Amino acid sequence: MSGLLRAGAYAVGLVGSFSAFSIYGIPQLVPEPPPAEERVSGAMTAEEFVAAGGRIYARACLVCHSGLGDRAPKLDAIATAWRERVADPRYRGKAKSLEEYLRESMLEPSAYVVKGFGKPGTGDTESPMPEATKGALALNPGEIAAVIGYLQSAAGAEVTVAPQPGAPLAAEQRQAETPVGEKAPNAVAALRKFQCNLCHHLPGVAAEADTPPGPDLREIWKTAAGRVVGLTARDFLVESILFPNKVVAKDFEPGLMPDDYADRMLVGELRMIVDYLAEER
Amino acid sequence: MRAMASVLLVVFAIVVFAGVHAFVPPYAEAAVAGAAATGEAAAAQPAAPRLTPADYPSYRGLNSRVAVWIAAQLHLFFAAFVLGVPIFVLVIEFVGWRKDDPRYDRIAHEFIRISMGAFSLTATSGGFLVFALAVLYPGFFAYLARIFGPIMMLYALLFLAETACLYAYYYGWDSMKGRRKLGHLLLGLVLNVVGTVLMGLSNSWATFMMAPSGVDSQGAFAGNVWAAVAGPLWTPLNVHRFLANIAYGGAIVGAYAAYRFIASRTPEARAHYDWMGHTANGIAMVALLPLPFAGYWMTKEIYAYSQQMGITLMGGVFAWLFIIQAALIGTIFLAANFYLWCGVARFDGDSRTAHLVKYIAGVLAICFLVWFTPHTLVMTARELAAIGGAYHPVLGPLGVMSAKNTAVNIMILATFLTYQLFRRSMVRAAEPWVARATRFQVALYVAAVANLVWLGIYGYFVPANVRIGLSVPQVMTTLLVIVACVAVDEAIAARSQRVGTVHWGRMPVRAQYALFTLAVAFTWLMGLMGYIRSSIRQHWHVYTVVRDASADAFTPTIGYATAVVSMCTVLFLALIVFVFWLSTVGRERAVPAALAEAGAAS
Repeated sequence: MSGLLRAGAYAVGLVGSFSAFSIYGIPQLVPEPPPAEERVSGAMTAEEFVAAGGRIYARACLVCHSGLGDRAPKLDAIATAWRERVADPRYRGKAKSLEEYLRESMLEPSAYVVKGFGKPGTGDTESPMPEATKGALALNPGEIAAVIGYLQSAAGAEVTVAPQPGAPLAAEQRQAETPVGEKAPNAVAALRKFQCNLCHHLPGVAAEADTPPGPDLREIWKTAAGRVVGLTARDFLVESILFPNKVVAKDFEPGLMPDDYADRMLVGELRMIVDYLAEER
Repeated sequence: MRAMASVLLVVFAIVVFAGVHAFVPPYAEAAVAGAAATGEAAAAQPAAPRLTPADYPSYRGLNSRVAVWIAAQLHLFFAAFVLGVPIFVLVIEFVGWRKDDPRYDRIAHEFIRISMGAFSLTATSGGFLVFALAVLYPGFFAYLARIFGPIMMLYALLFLAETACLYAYYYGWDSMKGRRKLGHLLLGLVLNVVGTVLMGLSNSWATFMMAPSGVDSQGAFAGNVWAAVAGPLWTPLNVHRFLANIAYGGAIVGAYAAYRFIASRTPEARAHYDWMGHTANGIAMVALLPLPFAGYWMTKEIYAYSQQMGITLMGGVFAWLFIIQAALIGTIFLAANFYLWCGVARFDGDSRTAHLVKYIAGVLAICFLVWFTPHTLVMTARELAAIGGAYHPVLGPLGVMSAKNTAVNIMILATFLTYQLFRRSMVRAAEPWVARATRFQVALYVAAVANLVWLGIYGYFVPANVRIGLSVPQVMTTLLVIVACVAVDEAIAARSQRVGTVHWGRMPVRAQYALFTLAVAFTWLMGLMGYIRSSIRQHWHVYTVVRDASADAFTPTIGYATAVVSMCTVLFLALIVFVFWLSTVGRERAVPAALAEAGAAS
């Protein structure tokens, strides 16, 4: 029995020493949190747009395009380098400008592979870079445009892209200026958080007044699809929340609903609310 | 008759394993099949769920991630043990049958008896894991079940088959002797085939989460379940875990033997458990030697699948975990070598090779320090300025793979040399050709080390893709030395006299603590590497397809993660001690004197 106890104490001591080394012998870095929930952007200035592109670039691209090691080429001289690349016989793309070249490189990375940076064994015909719209990167068109703007600006070229009103943009955007609080855990909580029941009858949330000043949304799922030609029910609801004065329901006053939800609402909250209201009951 | 039966058994084994392999299409074919099915089936299949925090129930402050983490890790520890042990038990039983030596049969039987107690704990911990996933991560689990439903059902059926085979194999041990032995061996083979398939099926869930296949970019299932199973990381993980399970099983039964050795009160029992510990240590090390190469292959496939995931693994915060890994593997190598060095005490008189131990220890220590050296240092601005960069001016070059590959290959060669010296201590050959053969072996070692060092240095002057490719000739160099030396040693052993008596049981107690060290370090290392493999998915349940929207969707600090690993290790060790105790309850039998003498005479 004493042998077992000694062996047990030795084993626990050994485990403790491994733990102690890991805690006290290794730097306790706090890893970066996951990319923040996307924010719905309103109109942005050109500077904000380029700065947002810089943040996206730092998060999604810089890990390889840092110039350290040999993972991917550095892009600081891209303003001139792109002309040489599109003139190279190995170039398989269609770009006619820096903007087009950058966009093409993100969407079709193998259109041109810089020598020495191809996948092993492919003779620099296949790029190891994932398509920017897919996988873990999953950038949307607005984010791609912002990255292009940043790269043009950083390389000293003219910025030829501009923010598209209403397009969802990058992470972290305007986070410092507009605190949005904790994300609501579900649709009902989100409706309460933004006090939608002050002005609307809603499914599952009691209205604050018997006759609220806004339209009754309890059966909006039945009518939303046909309200604007070309818009699905969900698209119509998104537009109605972000741009409430674009289409105003009959018999209701325009301008009553706040038009700053774009700055206050997280994409996840918007998605939950829209899905909830559009759900068949 | 016996020789023919052996051949039939081997042929049967090859046919069965090949059949299983043929049944599972390689990834490329599976992907094509999946793509072909996409047109019809994908349209009917919904995309992966977009989970929200509301999709993660919480219970009385229970941390869901830690709960699932512990359940999964315990299940993996037990599963690795109960899948690894029958593999070498079958080999030992087969060798005993061929040599007509009852010692092998007895030790094999004792090994499988230990794993019997662990089998029910494997099932129990698996049940905890499934319930924890279904209750705490219902949205994610439903998605997995939607895709892998048929595989999960097959898994359940195979688990039944595994249970039936294991019980029949264990309880039929004594009754299936003599002419029935071949049948018993075949039963053991079926047990291992079923176990390996079980492992492959469950591995597919883990590799799907890391590198999803058979689904489109939105996570919609294309309808071909084999395309989802045979993902790009499936085969490397299968190979890695197959080898690791054997090494782990060897390490755990080695700890059992060490404990029984210390608790033994008779010389016969000590001799038996000494031999058992020696055998277990050999099994663990033989399976450990190819593991780094299987790990490289796995890492290469991770890079090929997603460079971003590869960089997350080796180039970011996780890189520090490989420094801890280096410390653990260094511990394992040193403990295994120490045990072999202590084994010299079993021989009469002075060992002819004992003076080499200090040099081997020095080589191991130097290689360990090279492997242990980090590349990029985390420093304050003042430290950065003092050093002149993020890399140490002298030691920095040792932090890259060129140096580490060279170091690990030399460590493997040094460990093999220890084992070789131990074996050579058991024979004394007088023929002149033996001296020439020994000089040839020495020349082989010198040439191999020179080649390893040259390839390592050359790696600093070529691009990364060429550098990664250099690991192949390095591995081949190491394997060539091992194979050639084993062949020469076998020839020498067959034509030489044995040196007196090997006194099994004449082993210091501190050597048994080396076996404990192996078991603890293996367990902790498995926990650490499992954490790394799983956490490089970062904030994804299924990489790029199902995002983790829970409150725990962040990578913890290294201290936090290793504390959980330690907790899992202590829990497992406590349970395995219980299993050891169970395996001895009511089964205490004195070691027959004849067996002990047979052991002493070998």
